[in-house]
Amino acid sequence: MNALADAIDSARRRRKTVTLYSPDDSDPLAEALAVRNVDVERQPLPEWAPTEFLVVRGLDEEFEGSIGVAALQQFLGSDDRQPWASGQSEVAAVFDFLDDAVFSSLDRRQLLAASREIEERAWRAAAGRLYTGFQTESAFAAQAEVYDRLADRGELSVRCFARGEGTRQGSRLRLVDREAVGDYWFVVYDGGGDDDRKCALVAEQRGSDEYTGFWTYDPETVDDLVTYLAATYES
Amino acid sequence: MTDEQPVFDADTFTRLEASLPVAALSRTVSDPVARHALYFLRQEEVRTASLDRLADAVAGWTADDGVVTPADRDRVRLRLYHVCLPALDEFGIVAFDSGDESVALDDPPEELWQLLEPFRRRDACDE
Repeated sequence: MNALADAIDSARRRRKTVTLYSPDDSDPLAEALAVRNVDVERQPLPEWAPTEFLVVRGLDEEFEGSIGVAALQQFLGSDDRQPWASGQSEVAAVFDFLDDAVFSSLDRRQLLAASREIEERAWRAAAGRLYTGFQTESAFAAQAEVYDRLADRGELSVRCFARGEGTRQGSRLRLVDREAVGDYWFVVYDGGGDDDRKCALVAEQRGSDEYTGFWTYDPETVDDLVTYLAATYES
Repeated sequence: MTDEQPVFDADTFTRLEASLPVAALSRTVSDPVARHALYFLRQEEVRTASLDRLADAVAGWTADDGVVTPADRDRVRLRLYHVCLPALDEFGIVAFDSGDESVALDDPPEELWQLLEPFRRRDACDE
């Protein structure tokens, strides 16, 4: 079993449909949604309508929520992209699609930014376990200082993976000789037991600087990944 | 959830009354759900819609704070299904099939849009 590949497939099956109801042909969210690989349909509104909004439906066509474009732009433009915090639970419900959507094409820079968000979450909590897949030893070496600092942070412990053989004494790096680890960039944080803090990024390399994958705040998905990675790390 | 009805002058009322039951219909379209359903269906690219599509459109369009939860949207759908669409169907303005849950504009007289115009002007000015 390759839980990393399964998780990406599963996220792809949960693909959402977003319908933009708008009085004109502009696409105010093209940039924001392009990276998220959601299907965007359009429905017209009369040109005098003082609003434009998105309707989000799940794979089973279930209505999940609707949000005004203005409110969404405000959210996307803010530094705090964590609606589950600070009592915005209603908004969080609508924004599930942003978290659970499959990224069709990400480059290293974007993955690094997403990874930093998860690492910062672990840093703030100062507890729990952080599992990170670096693909190669050299990639780990480039981040070794960051991970040393994370490992020294409170009760937080880190488990790092890269493809290779043998062991590295005195290193928290675990070398694993299997594709399941070497082909994937992942950062999985178990939240230190707190469901609200669990989050994960999993991406499979498709080209020299092209990845496909997803990020999620779904506790069950994170738990599955943690179970798999913990077993892999100990084996 | 009804708005205050606009008042028509006597001449306009008489002219509209020739093709529509103005007083009764005014009560129906004083409900923003009924009104926005008509605005949506009036569009050339639309004309017909599933009940679900119409509920999405009306719920999103009339949302006060820009966010619609599944519960909010269910309320709009129920109101369309049980109140607004049967009434508009009764007036011969839409054809509502409650079995397959489809709605079509039923070639209403131009006077309908004249009756709606004062509402529309107000609905266009939402902040």
